[in-house]
Amino acid sequence: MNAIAPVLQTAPRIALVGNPNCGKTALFNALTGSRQKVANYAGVTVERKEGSFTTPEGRRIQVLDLPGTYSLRARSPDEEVTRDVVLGRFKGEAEPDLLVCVADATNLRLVLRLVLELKQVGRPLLLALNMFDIARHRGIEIDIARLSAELGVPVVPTVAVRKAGTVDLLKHIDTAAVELADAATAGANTWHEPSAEEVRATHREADRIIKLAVRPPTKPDTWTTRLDTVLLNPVAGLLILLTVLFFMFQAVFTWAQPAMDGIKAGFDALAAWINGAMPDGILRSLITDGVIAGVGSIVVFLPQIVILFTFIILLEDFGYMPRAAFLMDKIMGGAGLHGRAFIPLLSSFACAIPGIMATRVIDNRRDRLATIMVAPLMTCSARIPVYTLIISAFVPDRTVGGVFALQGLVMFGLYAAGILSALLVAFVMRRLVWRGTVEPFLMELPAYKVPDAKNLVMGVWTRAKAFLQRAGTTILSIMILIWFLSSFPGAPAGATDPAIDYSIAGMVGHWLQPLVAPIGFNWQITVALIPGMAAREVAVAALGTVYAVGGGEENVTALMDTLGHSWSLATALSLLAWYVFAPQCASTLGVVRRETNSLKWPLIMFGYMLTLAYLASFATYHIAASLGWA
Amino acid sequence: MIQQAIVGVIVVAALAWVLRPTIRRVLRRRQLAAGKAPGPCGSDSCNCGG
Repeated sequence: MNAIAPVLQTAPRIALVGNPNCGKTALFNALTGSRQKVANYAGVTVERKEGSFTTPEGRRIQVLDLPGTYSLRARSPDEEVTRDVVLGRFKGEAEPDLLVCVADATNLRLVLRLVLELKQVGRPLLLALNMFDIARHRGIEIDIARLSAELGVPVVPTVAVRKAGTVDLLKHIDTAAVELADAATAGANTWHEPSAEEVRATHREADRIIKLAVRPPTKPDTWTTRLDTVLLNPVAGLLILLTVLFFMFQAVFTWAQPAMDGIKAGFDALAAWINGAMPDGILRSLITDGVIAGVGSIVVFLPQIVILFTFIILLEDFGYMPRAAFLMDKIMGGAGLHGRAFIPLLSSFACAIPGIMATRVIDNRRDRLATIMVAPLMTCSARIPVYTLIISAFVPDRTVGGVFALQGLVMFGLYAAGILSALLVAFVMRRLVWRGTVEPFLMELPAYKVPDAKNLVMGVWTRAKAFLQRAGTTILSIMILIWFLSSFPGAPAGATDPAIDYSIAGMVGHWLQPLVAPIGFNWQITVALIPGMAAREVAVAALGTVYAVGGGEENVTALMDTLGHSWSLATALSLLAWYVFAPQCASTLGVVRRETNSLKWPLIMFGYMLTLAYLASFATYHIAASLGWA
Repeated sequence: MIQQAIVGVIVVAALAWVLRPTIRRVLRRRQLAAGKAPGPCGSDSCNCGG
């Protein structure tokens, strides 16, 4: 206790433990006011998260949100984090003073086994019966007092998403904190890796307590079962999944257009006002050609990001994502990917970084590495500006069959290309590098829930804010540098070519262009690809700046029109093919290094993706050229 | 002349922002070498209380 006592004087530490998808992060957010991601499926939290809050008695409490686990017998890297923190073995982390076990009140059987294990750890323990409203709605009757008496721990009903029950929970935390400060309330840690007989005994004890304290509904709710008979049907379910995704991409294109036009008009008006208010000179050029043309060409894609994430968060909250994983399991297994790879790969549609981190739910190292290596092939949101720019410039805005937007169809095709190439690469890797059978997939299917409006708004806002922050900081800075490199040194006296040809960027672009000439890229694309190595969407902003400096158009955000008559269709298709594979994200490579603890895997990833990108662009360009599109 | 000075300051600030992570890393390495900064959690020079 000597090591704990000084900590208690400042801030007692509580750890939120529980089964996956029981609402630990929702409770963490309710207590701390944080906005950590919550969703209706297991494996959203894969590393410990820390926050703090003040109790009604004014006590400062530190709280840890831990990855979900069914037992302290950890099997995957995320479960190891939970076990090590709970047992005080986590490097650099003090043992928690109080454990709050969060339970899904609609499914107590699983969590009671964990509670019985946690009791053996010897730390003070509280049980938060979360989603209590749903349990009551389904007719599940829980005798709180009896449950508390049988378990020997205080039990508090909560509804974390609505912050219900948190006042009662805080009172219990306050009481526990007083006890902690007064005396050594912690008992001896008697937990050990249980034998098969001990596991069976724990199951029997959990069943005994359930019989005493929980009465199942007299009329079971069949809504989830009825929906699942359709949504999990191998044929109808897959068709519905494809329709949902197809509708999503159609909406991204058609619904976003008015807002995109509005943003574009706003930036154009701003540029026109600055052009009228400021005298001609390098400062005006920096503001209009560098800042407005560069940043404006990225910010214009905000409506599409918002629509895409609205769909994703709605599907997550509804509980559809694990069903999609279930439907895809057979296809993914055929490619050599573990069923649990679906959620990391799905997260990679937003960004490969959380996707790669989410692979911690996969316990087998080979399965995990295979998933990490293909995660960046999924179409992340940074590719949306690139795809949209090229599609809008080159694909006619018309419908197919009078219903489907052609541009949306092409976008859907690019997403499909990303998924298919990920499956193909995984298949080849599992055959050549990591041979062996894929382990069977077990995943709990949560009950369907009506999406929470607040979670939806907060989730979309967080994404939109991150996008705008990136545009206003990193992309803005890079665009200022690109403008500088595209403007200096100026053209010599008597020069006949455009001034940008004599600039540093122009010289570098012309110098490197022979390398990418076989894939149809011009020197402007080459210049854009260099800063685009930091992040994919930067290339769009760089193209905006390079063409604005070089062209000096009145309408600085008219990049789509400029590209439409500067590039051939073959070049545009080649660049699209490049972006399906290109490893242009330094942060992703950094995370791969951290997650694999090796420089080898990010280097292999960079090498294979660059090779695939070049080959795909080469083939696309030459096929398109042979069709007369060059 | 004033315009050039303003542009110069903006470009240098943008360069500093882009190089921020590298600058931070170098500074931290120097501080660690000089013993003026705590080491990572779990190391001998960690002072996070763990």
